[in-house]
Amino acid sequence: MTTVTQLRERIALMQSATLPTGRLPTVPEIGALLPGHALRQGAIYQFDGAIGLVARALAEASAAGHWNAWLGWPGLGAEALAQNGIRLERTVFIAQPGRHWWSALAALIDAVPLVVTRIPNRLTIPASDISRFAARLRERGGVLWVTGSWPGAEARLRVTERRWGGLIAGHGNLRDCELAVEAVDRVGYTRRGTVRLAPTVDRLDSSSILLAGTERAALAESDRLSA
Amino acid sequence: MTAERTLAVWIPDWPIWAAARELGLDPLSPIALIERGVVFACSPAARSAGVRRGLSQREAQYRAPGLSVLRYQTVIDARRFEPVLRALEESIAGLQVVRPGLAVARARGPVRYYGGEREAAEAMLATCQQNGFSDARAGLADGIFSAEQAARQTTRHAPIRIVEPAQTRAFLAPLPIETVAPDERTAVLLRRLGMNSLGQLAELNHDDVLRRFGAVGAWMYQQASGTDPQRLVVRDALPDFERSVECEAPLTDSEQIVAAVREPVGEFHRALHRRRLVATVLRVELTDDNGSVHVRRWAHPRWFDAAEIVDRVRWQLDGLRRVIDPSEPAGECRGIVRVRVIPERLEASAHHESGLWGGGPDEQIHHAFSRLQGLLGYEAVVTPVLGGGRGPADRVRLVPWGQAAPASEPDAAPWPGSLPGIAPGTVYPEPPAAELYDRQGRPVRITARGSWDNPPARLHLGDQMDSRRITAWAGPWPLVERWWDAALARQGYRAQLLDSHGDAWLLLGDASGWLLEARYD
Repeated sequence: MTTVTQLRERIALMQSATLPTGRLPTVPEIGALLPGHALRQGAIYQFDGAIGLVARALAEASAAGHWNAWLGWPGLGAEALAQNGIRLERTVFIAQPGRHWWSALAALIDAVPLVVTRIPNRLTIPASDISRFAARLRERGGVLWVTGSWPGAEARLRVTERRWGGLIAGHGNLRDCELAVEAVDRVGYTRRGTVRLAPTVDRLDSSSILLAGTERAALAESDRLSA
Repeated sequence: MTAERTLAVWIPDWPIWAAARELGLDPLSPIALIERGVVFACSPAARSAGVRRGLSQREAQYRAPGLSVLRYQTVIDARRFEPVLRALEESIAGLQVVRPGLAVARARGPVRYYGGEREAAEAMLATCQQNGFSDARAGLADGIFSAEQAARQTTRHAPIRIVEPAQTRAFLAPLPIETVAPDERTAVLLRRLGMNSLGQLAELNHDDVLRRFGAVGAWMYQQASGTDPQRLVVRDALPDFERSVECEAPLTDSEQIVAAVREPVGEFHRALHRRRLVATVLRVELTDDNGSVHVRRWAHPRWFDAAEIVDRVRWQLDGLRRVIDPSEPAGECRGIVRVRVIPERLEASAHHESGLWGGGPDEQIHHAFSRLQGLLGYEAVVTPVLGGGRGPADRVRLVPWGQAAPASEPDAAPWPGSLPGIAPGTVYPEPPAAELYDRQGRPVRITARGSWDNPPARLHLGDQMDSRRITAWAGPWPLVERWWDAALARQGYRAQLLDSHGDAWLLLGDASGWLLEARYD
């Protein structure tokens, strides 16, 4: 009997280690704004359309190899996503779903773990659809970021101030940006923080570009020869 | 390590033969192929009139007034070589194409079959001659490189050169160093170091060459010393998998065409399946009643099943809808008369079987995106690829899901004039108009010297009649692109603005006014 208990304990131990945690990693400054300090799988986050903020929020999960899809953002700046840490090789844009927005969103959350979308103007989603959708999202373990009003969002993020760096009257260029963000969670608790957006590699640094270029040429050459 | 005995079949001046066949010219008449304004290849007749490779087109025409000048196209080279290969494959197995005009094969089999090295080479040349290539050459030596060099040492009257196994090194030794140098620079460098022939290079210590020249050096050394480790990768003679559907009358309705295609495509897929193959790249050719062929290459991240092939045909037809117009009498064409599906890349299905637990998450993703393409259209689901360019819109290419991404252009080029720093979050597909005013409320203009006449103080966003105070700005940066091409030339100014709402903008201006090109958010 004692062996059985021991075995059960061992099984319990092993299971707890392998159970999905239900959370996706995110950068610390975003984590500080969210309940539970991470992206909760199956949760819906509402934001005010700040692309850079969402890109930062999804960067860690994207780097971990999760796919991300952007539904209904015409003219999305792919370079800005890349600068904020999104891996473009696992990124898909569906810029203009038109009247198929809802079915496209439903199809996406079935397969893609990170989805960012914007509720089309003048569209109200029936409450029954909302709850069915939320259940489906929880089941698939996806994370949805949405612009527009969505009842029952895990947290609502809003950029209260943008502080731009690098631009002085007549000189310089936009180099970085500090977003002051206010996040209100389900129960109404407000968290405040700042998120800094800056290109990871400054394209002005020509020496690194040259080096990268020659390295790449050398690699290509050795590939060619070994082929 | 000694290399295998290799037989090389070479057709001198292949580009000339290919182009002559393509256009029905006589390959023995003076012909020159031009690439970027200089002669790329010329026929023997042109050569005897003094035309040389690298000569400018004008100079070549001056030297040989009767010269036919054609543009060089690599596609023709490859396409015209295919029938030659097919003919050769009937008498020799396991051919490998080094480049159009030069094919190599392992010599052991044919030598045994034809009863000797010279006999095997003669049999190859006879095949070429039957196909109308009177001037084919053959070389037989150890390794691909030596065999190619042997073939190049032949003449019209002695078209076969056989290098005995032990003499490969001695055969290669007197050849000039350029035969092995991958580019001009290396060749010049080697010459300066006192190495004029392959023999001199081969006398050096292998490790020294490796240290000085790296992988390239090691490769050159192996070639020069006749120890070419490059193995022959045989080109399998594949059975014809290509399927085509002929329509009796030109069809315009894509549904009709798709219905006609469905059965042959299913059969195509089953034929592949029986051979345990899957297609990962396809070419679909649609021929209209005018005889023009609309070709598109389709790649698949996994592999095509029958329904997916039918989808590709449908998408391609949808893309053509603008061209096909039955109502217009002078329209481009009235319908499609032929559909061809050709597998371009086949892989063993064993590499693509899904695991015991079903495919990975990526397969789900693929199905979801394909479904969305079915719902919204092929070009509605795209993956972004970063490339080179100055403007934020130029730097991104959007590739439809499932299409092979363009060969990635490394972003190593400096692109002078591109904006450093943070990238905009929204790049307007159709930039809305904006107006800039100075402190006195006068519109801001750009002076002839390329600066503001008065610094901008207010920004009006056209559609919302929304006026904002400008808190900081930079620019105007002049933009002059493609001035050599009237249709694509672009001239104007870019400027970054920061407004009182805390929003940052990228503006694009020219003589007609300002546009909001992008927004930083």
